[in-house]
Amino acid sequence: MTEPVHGEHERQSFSRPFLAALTPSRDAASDTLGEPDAVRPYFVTQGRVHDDISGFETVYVLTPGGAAGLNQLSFEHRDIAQLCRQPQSVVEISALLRLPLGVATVLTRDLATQGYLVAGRPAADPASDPSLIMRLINAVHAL
Amino acid sequence: MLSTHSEQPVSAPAPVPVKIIVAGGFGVGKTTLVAAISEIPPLTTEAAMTTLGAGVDNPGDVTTKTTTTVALDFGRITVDDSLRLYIFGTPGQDRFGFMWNELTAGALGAIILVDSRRIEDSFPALDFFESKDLPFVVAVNQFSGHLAHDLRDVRSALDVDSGVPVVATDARDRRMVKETLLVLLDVVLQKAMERAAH
Repeated sequence: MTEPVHGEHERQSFSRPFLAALTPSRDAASDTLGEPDAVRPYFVTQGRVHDDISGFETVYVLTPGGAAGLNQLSFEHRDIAQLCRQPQSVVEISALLRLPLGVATVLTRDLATQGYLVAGRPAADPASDPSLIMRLINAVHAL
Repeated sequence: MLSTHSEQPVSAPAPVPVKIIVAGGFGVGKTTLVAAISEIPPLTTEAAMTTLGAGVDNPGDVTTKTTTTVALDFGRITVDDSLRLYIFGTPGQDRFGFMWNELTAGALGAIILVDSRRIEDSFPALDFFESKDLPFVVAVNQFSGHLAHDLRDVRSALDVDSGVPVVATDARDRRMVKETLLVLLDVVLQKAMERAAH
């Protein structure tokens, strides 16, 4: 993957003039890191990085309160919240919205902290759960 | 903070996710295998690795800060409303080994995909999963419908434990990939039953 991450999606939803002023020009960008002139994804996380990324596959789903409050959200947060009307894992959110995984992780956690999303519980030691594995085997058999 | 939200989700409760890993050398067919079995077209996400990638790429570059972007492919099998299986194809190169710790945390097991013409490409993945004591199977990908080497030769070359299944597969063929996945799940089940017995 050599294309710029996030660029296309960002342009599609780009309608915030206050961010345009903060976007480095192509010249400025090529002087520094040579990155494209879209808003850098880490800008929307306000520089925060994920402290751990062990939850690649953590599944999030929109809450009724979250559905009612969508209009209060920024574009990036709203896109994620909308997507989570159906349960979505962080990796799916990242891939579908073309957000780097670390960015998707931070934004999704924001939304969970604020009550827009609720995270599904992780599997409790699935490797020691024969009945769970039997469910998997039956499902794969049925494919 | 929302004032009126409840913690109940809009749709059904989020399903519990479990995952398996597909590992192997570059170009061995990991994405193809994921595509053959996934219920959704494989998705690709990107993890930007800033500090850990430092010094890997182009040490002579103008900046000492190096950003490495790692592409990660994955697919999904919905078991039922409350259980989902994710299948991750890992970047196979040595240099991305640091990512495997994060990726494999909580994984049930792995399919190590091998190109029998380039067996050595699978050594990093083998070493990793052996060291983690994670269940795995070795699946030799048949390119153009045949194996370049006998499975016994591959087992001998890889020097894997006798309890590790070494099977032939075809990453393009849904039926064969399904069989391979079932072989892995059987190993995972054996191990789970051993644990449950203790």
